[in-house]
Amino acid sequence: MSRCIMHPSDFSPASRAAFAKAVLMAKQARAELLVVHALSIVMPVPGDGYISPKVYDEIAASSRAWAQKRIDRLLVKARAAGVRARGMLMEGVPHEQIIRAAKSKRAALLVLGTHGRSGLAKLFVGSVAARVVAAAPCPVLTVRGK
Amino acid sequence: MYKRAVVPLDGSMVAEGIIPFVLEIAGPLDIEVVLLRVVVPIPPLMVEGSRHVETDDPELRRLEAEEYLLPIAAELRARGVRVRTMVRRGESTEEILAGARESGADLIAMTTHGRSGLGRLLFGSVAEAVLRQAEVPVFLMRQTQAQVAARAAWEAIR
Repeated sequence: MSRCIMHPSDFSPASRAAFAKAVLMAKQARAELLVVHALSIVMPVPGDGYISPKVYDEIAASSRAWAQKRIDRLLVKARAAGVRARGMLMEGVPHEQIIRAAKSKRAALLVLGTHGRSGLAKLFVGSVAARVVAAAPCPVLTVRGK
Repeated sequence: MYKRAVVPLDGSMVAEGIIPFVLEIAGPLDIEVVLLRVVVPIPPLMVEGSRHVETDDPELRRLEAEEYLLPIAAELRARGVRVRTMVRRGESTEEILAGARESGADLIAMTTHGRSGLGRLLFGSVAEAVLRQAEVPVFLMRQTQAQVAARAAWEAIR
């Protein structure tokens, strides 16, 4: 069984450079590319703080559909470059989900983007990449987003 | 795809954990490897009440760093990898980034202790700082204590 290259994307411009690199590496290594996204469902809180289960399901379903569409778009791009690609949508805390997926799919390499924040911002905004690196079961290639 | 990779080594077993990867990847892909050792300046140390002051000897430490890199470079060369060595003086993260810029590297490959929680607060992480600031892609491998111990044992019996 050949092992895959996993690219977790948050669909931001910071992920774009990493995606391009992941596609290139998968093509060179003739490995399968697994594009994953960890979705955190954001719930709007109305005045009385109550959301009916039906509305909740609708919002959750629409965010899932949105994320799946973004994944599919990346898959189309990867396949156009001649790479075998699969997508996977997960829900939860990004770095936890990414590490779990890397373990369960036995990824050979994780390719992910960094925002390259520095100074004050880095104290407040933790880097998902840094957290992934600290617990990853496989090597991690981080690519600075443009 | 990659032409030149900077491999920072700090003299620890953890950092040297990247060498097998370098052998596996750099050779076949014909990547030039720049082995980099950063010498961090030590502030003068004086023991209270004594007239003896311990100061840093930059030249000596540079030589030590070069001596440390030479056998590793020789081992890589013997396996057909193009290698250069580089010793820089200053703060680790800054010098790794500057070394990568100056040598025109398009990749930085290093290991990380993968500390979390309290350990990370106490010791920080050079790898994390590098990955946040580097303009070029950074290849990071986490080295667990167990892996380091296993390799140390292996080297001992070899």
